Amino acid sequence: MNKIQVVLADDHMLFREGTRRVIEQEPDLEVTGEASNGEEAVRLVSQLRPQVAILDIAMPGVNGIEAAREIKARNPSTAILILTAYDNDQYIYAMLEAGAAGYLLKNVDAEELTSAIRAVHAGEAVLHPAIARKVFGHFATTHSAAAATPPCTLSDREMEILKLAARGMNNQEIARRLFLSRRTVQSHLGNIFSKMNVGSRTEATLQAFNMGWLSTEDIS
Amino acid sequence: MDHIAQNGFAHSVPGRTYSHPQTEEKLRHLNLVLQAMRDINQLIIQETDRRRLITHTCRILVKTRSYYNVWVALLDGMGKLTMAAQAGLGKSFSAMRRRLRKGSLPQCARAALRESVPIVTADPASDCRDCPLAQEYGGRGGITARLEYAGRVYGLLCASIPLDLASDPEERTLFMETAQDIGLGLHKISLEEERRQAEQDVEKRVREITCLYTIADISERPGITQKELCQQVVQILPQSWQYPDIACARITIGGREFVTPNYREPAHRQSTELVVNGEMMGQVEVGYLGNPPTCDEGPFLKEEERLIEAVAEQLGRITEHAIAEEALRHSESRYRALFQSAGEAIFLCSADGTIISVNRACQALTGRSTDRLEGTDIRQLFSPSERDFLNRLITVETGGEDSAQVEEFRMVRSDGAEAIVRLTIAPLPGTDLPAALQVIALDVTEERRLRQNMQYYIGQITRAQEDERLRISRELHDDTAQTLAGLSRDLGLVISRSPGLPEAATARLDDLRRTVDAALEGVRRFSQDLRPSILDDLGLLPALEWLVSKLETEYGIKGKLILTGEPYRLLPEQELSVFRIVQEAFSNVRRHSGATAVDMTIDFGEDAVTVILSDNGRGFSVPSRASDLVRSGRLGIVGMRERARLISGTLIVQSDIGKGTTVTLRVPR
Repeated sequence: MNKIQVVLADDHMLFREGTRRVIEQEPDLEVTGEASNGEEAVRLVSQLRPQVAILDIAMPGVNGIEAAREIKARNPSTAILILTAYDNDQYIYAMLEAGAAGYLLKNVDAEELTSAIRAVHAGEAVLHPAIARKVFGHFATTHSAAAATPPCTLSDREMEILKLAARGMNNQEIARRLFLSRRTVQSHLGNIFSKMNVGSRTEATLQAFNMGWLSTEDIS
Repeated sequence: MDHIAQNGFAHSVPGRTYSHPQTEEKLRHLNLVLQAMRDINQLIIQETDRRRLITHTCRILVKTRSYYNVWVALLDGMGKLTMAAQAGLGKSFSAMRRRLRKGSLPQCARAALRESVPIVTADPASDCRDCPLAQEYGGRGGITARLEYAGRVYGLLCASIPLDLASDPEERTLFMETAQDIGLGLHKISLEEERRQAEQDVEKRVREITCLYTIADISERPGITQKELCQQVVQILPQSWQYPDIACARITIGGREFVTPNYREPAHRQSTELVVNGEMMGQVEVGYLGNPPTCDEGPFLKEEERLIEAVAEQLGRITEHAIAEEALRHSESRYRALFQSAGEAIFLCSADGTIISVNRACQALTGRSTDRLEGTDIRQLFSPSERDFLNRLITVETGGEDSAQVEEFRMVRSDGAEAIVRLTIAPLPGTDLPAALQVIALDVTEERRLRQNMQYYIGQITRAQEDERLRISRELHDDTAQTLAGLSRDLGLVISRSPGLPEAATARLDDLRRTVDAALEGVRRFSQDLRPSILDDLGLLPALEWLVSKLETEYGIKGKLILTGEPYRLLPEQELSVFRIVQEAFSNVRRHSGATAVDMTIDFGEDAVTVILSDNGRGFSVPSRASDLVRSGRLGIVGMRERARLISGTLIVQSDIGKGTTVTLRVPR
């Protein structure tokens, strides 16, 4: 079984080590690279192409959010989880706009951390639905002046799945709803991610939303 | 008969001899008359007294037996007798005199007054019934003519002559001419009298004028005191009076008395009040010690009354003038003292900027002595770049005393050093003074430097403060928060990795973990308050949004954020300062205003970012001076202003009791 490859970026060595140990405890996860600043993180991700990158926000030089942007530009399929001490809205909006899939508070426990890594890799949501709705609401007001709506490249089935995902259903629930297997759903999501050049459900929903493929009604 | 009168003599026509006794008689008579006339002419030339003139005239006329008797009466304008003379009538004239005095003229006289030619009465004895002299004519005729010259009638001339002569036209002509000559003589005397009177008047006037002029002259002598003035004036007064030898004078003024050496209680006195500034201060008195020669008007002439009043008035004026001058000198010397001792440098300049006068402080300020300053242009004292503006200030027509202008300039001292000088330029009232401008210069170099230093220190302190906060915040974040986070996670691990733990222990560990989380939360919040990483990580706008949301979540004050313009980044120092200012403003809203809502408008303009915060709180009265702000404990606002200034921005706080507060911050790009 292929391990899920993770790159860690945090300027705090001790914390980074701690996190690495936590991840490496899991048989299906491995840390392939460690960076202590944003620039290094971008470089390593480009080099190693992990599935998941975990970034701290507060890093010297290029901070986590900027690094996330950079990484997304070069490696769109890498899912980014931001590890942060702050969970206020401004941060969340900024993070998601930068292309993060979700965030974790610094004091998250090992289990939460590892399950989040797995979840994001599986295309599951790593953003609490309530927060997700708030985010979408925020983006609705700030990005209302959308130019031409680019044509939807997703198939109907894919659109369906995306909508349900946007509503907060996890893969299992979607599978049940659409009478599909969980694996199928996961695979569809993978396609969706590829088509949209994103690495996570959050990104996909957000982008779809921004491009007008999804509206607020779809997610209420 | 013809005969020619030549040179007053009748000459017989050559070749003709008349031996008619009547003719000879007549000729002889005429000769006598002409001679008499000649004598009268002589008299007229010499005589200056009327009475003598008419008396002698009568005598002359009778003496030559040309007329038997003659009388002259001088009449005034009413026809009343003023003087009379006669010859050949003796005592019998008194009746006529009495009658004339009463104003009753005899018939011949009345008639003569009406005519310019003589009136002849053929038989007075019978014709002149009412004339007391009627009987004196004794068969002779009477001839009366008026005494007239240059249109003025002086009186009458009446004579008794032989009847046949009386009817003779030549006789009458001669008589008329005699009367005219007498008239001329009287006229001459009148003129002389008038002339003399005029001369006397002029003399009197000259005395008056001399007196007043001398007083003026004395008063203008340099350094003369009032005492000396009065002493000298009192001496010259008697000379101006009619009878200086018996005259004395006294001047009393302000309780002091000045007298002529001969002064004692005068028999006749003339005095008048001396008034100074509306108050009676004394009197001027002139007196005669003895009795002056009698005069109709009394011992003193009307002119002398006028003169003494004029003298008193003049002395009064001189005294008033002296008092005013003294007061002026006093106030001038007070001004001078003030001017000299003033701590600020005061320059008095003419309208074109030439320095006329300086005080001591000017020397200290400019490093130049009075001599080097006076007479030079004040603009020379300042650096060339300032002169233009100074020019405008100086040459502009400033109106009124309240239009003083205050500006700061760089002055170049004599040693080359620069001083910052605050000038107050005001026009001086009074257009006839040489000085037209008053320039007060206050050396504010120290003040300016102190202020600059202070601002520099404030800047330094603020930066140090921020650095400190950042450091603490980072340490808390990096060290303490991480440790706690790690601790929390490890505790979690312990719980999850130790399935065999008793419940109590698990519960206890959970508790501990929650405690640690709470501590972490606390540390995080504290660290954020100290130095919000949101500002560094995400920028000013998200940071301000965060402040607004915090205001709501933590204090229940509703915030609204309005954004205009395309957001751009400012310098980190600027963003930090803006953040701090808004943070402080919110803190004020929380603490003092009792507001329930705050509006924040952020405008990203072309040249500047403008942030406007307004609350619906109770407002306060904004003191206009920073010192008052400090005094009232509103240091926060002072701090905000300083922060704004440090980033070249401006801060305006507007508030009114009951109307909320609005803070406007503008930061240029």
